[in-house]
Amino acid sequence: MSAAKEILRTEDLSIGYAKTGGAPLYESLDLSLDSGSLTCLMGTNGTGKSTLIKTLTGLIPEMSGKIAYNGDESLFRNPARRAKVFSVVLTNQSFSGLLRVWELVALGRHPYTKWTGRYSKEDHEKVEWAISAVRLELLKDRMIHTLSDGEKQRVSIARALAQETPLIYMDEPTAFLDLMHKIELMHILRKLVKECNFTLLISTHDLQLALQYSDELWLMNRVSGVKKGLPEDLLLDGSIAEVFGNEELGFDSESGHFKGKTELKHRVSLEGDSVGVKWTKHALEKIGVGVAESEVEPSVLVSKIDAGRFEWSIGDRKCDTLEALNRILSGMFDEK
Amino acid sequence: MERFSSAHHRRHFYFWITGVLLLVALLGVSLSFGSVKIPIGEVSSILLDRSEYENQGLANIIWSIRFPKALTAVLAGAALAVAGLQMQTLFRNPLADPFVLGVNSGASLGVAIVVLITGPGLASLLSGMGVAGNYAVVVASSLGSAMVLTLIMVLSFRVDLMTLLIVGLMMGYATSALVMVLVFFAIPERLQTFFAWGYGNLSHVTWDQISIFAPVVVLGILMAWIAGKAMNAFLLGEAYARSMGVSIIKWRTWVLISTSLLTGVVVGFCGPVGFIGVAVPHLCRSMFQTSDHRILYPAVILYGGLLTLMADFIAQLPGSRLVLPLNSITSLIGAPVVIWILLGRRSLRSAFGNG
Repeated sequence: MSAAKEILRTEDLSIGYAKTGGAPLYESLDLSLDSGSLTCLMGTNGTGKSTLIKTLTGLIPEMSGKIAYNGDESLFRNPARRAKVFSVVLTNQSFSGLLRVWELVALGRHPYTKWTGRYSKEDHEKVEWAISAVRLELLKDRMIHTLSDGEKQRVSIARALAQETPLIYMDEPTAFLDLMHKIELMHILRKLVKECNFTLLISTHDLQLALQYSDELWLMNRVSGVKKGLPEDLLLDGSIAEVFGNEELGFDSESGHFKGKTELKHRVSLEGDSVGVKWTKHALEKIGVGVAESEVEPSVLVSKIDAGRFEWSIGDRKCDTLEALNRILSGMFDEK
Repeated sequence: MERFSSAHHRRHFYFWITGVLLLVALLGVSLSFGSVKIPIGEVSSILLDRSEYENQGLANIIWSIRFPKALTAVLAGAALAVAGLQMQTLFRNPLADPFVLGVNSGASLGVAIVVLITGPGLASLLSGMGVAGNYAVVVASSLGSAMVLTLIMVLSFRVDLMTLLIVGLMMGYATSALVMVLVFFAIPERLQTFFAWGYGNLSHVTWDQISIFAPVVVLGILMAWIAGKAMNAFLLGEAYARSMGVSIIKWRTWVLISTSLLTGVVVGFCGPVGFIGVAVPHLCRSMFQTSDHRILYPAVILYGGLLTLMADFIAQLPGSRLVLPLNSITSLIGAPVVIWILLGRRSLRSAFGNG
């Protein structure tokens, strides 16, 4: 891996909509992006993620402060040069046009073609590369409107790749995808970032993916500003819990999940096979039964019989599904 | 080339050849038919060999009446179709056409003022200045549409496209209302001239006028062609276009100027010829299966000219002495074409991102 090099830096940046005469949403932001890194931007809805991104991409002017690409501040005022540095993938995929996948991806070459819009041999090669980078080879002659949302999303990403910019911003690229496609896409993106050494800034609501795939995490919150760091660091120091948690939602730092706070009325002690214990705990919490740290009654023992077969025992009663265990425990607590 | 599969190359080739052949055939028959029928053979010998032809009467009919008229039809159709295509892309709206911004209403207000109020007064004033009679209508409608488009252009710097579209529609209503008032109080004899303009007519255009008409149309189309690359970027929406370095304000203004020239000059010389601007771009998208402007511009020029020529030919009711209003024929052809395409082709709804 080549040494990370800082390519975008903001100094004392204030963002917001100057036109409407409002106060800045955020002030004195000092942010930076390194080449060959994947950064995720997270924050609850309405915290100003888009405003930050639009400012960083030069689509709306900054209220005060500096944004510099490789130390050059003037770039953001020149649309033609900016288009060779920053490309975007937006959430809105309702493209107007009867376009083939190839044609849409090729539109990404816009900053490089002459006024006629004719594609050179190099343009053709870049388009083909972008299409294969997101594995769209088999779809390249298809009409855009015949594709699924996930496929359209990948076409959009290919278009941004074809624009051949050192910085790419993606607004919730995984929003419309099912779980497997989310993971597949993030995997491809991370691989591309590392192989091609570009810089990717992704805004997302998916904490799991952010934890799993980002090099850096930016957490946005109107109260505490923008916090940045290694995602795992932000998890351990409680920043993630602070930004997203509330009275209803608690953050479980062990699993990296948010969950609704449920009142645990009863306690059991639990031991046995580690996988079995994890999922037993998971199931019991849903019916309001917590697992005690110390030895209490009743006590549940999980044992693994063989692959895919578990057995639970409470005293002399045994069962082979969690559903049965739930029934037994409910019965026991109701008697009390 | 990876751009299109060979099936698409064949499809495109087929539609180009068909279009060109049909255009040539239609030119032939529209020169041949009329109040006097001139056999195709004679038409071609007149066209190829004008000075030597013994029957100067027939040669005159062809050269002074029918040929300028056919040429006007082709130019007007091409101009309206190009303007329509640009408006549809710019406003991302399948029903947008050159008239959606209120251009025809502006023009009809101009004509109404000249014809209904000043009437012969202005006409004689203009002819006194060495301008032929029906130039008054041309000048009035051009000024009317230029006025509306200037207003639109000024507004386009301040408001977004959707607002602009609505402003255009509202101005259309307002000017129509004014025209209605003028019509209500007008002297009946003058109404005839006004309505004749509103029916759409290609036959007033003489060679003198073509020397103004043709260069303006060519200029408008050239401007459109230059905007082709930017228009393709607009297909992805303004945000994407801007991110690819397209200057939105610059190209929006450029395209509006091109559309104004094309529409203003056609409305001025031929009246508000409807539906070509809406129907032809849809037809061409559906035939060529693409939204790429570098293919669509030449396609709508060919088929716009072709369809207008055909509409004009039908309006003559060949074999009869009657002539129908051109506007009714273009609408009768245009409306079903749009409906057929919208109902039959899911792809067209998708073409505007809401299918």
